[in-house]
Amino acid sequence: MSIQLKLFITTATAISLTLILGAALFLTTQQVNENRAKVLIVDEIVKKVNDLNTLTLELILHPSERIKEQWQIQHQEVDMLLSEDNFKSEEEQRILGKIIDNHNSAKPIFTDLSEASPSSQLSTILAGQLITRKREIVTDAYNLSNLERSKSINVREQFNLVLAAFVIAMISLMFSIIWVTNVSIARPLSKLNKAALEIAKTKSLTTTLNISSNDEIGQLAESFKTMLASLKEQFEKEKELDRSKDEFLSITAHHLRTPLGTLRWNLELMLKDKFGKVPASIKPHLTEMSESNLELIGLVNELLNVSRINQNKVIDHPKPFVVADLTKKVIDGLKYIAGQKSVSMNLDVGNVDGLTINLDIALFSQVLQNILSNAIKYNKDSGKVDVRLSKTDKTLKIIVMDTGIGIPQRDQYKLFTKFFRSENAINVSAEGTGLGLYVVKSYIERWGGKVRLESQENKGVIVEIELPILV
Amino acid sequence: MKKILVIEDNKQYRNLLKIALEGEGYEVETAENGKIGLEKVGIGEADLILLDLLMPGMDGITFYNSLTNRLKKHIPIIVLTNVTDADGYGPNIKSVLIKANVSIDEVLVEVKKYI
Repeated sequence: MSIQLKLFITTATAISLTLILGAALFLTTQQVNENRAKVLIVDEIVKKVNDLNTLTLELILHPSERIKEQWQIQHQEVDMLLSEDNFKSEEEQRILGKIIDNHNSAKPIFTDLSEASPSSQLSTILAGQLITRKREIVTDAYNLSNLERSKSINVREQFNLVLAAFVIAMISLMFSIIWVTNVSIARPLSKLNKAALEIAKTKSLTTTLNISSNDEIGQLAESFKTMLASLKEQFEKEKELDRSKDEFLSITAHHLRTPLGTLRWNLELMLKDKFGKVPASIKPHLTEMSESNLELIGLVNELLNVSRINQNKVIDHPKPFVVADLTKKVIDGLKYIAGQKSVSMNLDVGNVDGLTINLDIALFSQVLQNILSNAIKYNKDSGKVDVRLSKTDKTLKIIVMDTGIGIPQRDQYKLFTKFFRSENAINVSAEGTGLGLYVVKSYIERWGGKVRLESQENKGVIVEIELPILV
Repeated sequence: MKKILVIEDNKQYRNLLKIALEGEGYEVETAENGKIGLEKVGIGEADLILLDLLMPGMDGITFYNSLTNRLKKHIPIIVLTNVTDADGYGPNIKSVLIKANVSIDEVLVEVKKYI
């Protein structure tokens, strides 16, 4: 059954119950009011009958035409009260009938009494009969009044029963609403939520979600699963595509190495006159060719690094080495390009002198090279690059500071992503793959370290690396 | 005169290495793949082998395994390849160099270490 239907049924039941209660309340009130009106009539009758008795007694003691007239008027008023069509039940009709009989029989007695001579025995007897009739009427009237009162009480009691039933029904209805909400909505929703959170956390598109209900949430769960399956399929396809792309990249790069390598060696031997004397005017061009070739080789290596990172094929060959010495070696290797821009490079080994760490030397050199070549490439002419090493018990810290163009705030968060180059970097040099820092971050994190970057535009960049010291 | 066997399928690399090594006064023997390499080792033993990995016919790894089975004497081997992450082939392999990433001078320096 759908949740909508369940909720509709419970709501409809609640509304009907409320309507029933309202009707019962209305009927009860009406009944009570009616009874109250009847009681008032009866009370009025009793009052008037008592007045008639008083008038009768007065007539015996002080007979006068005025009293007779008053009696007649009162009697007629009682007639009117009795003729009102209010009393319908059998019991009421029976008592009312007695009252009417007594009342009607009173009139001829009164006529006789008014004609009999005052203070005669007859008048006393008649007056006695009259008063007896009237007393009977009063007694019956009291009975009628009590009947109406007890009826009111009955109606109220019935109403109380209806009210109690209503309260019980409403409470069970509320419980059923809570139950429907909990079992059909809250619990499966929380399951669904858990499944979604799990996916967000584990980043795996599989789920153990089990909601078997046939309602909207059951359908939602089914759609959720179908969506996951199609997403998974899509991701698999994309992954496959990515894999083939990385494989293609890797194969192409490897193939490129062969001609680039032979070109390198050919140029090298040529420059050394190994194939015969090369004219001096040609040599600078050979050097340029050689430099371009080295650039190409660097590019290919960078692509290979990325494809290895992407394919999870980075292999470390950790060997112990002296950090300060290797850093110095990398700096020395870059002195030539630094010299071209008159950038000075300083190394402060701090308390790290002699510290040995156990990492892949080639990969570590690559990290330093990438950061330092950026620091030189994007520096100002005659700028400075400071490299500071320091350590604590467990951490090696490498800080590289330059005095270059810096990185605009808006670009900083993207710096460690693949192929990203900041706009001002592109202005300085159109060439560059945007892979250097991506590679740095991948390797540093692979070794359990952290890399952070701070920069102000036109002031320079500070790169800070923290690595756990693994000996 | 020390004898070096260059096993390399690429003709250009083979010739460049031959020229450079002969320039340093070594006697150089060349082979286009592992199979020919094994034959040449059999004829006149080499003092050092420069070995490429990916070659048609017989690749460098198969060559290395056959060689270690056949010879009692250990010949130092320097692997010259363009395939990355060549590693862990055995005690005779003294170093692994990526051809595109080293100058021929660096190859010569490495050769001198083991001969």
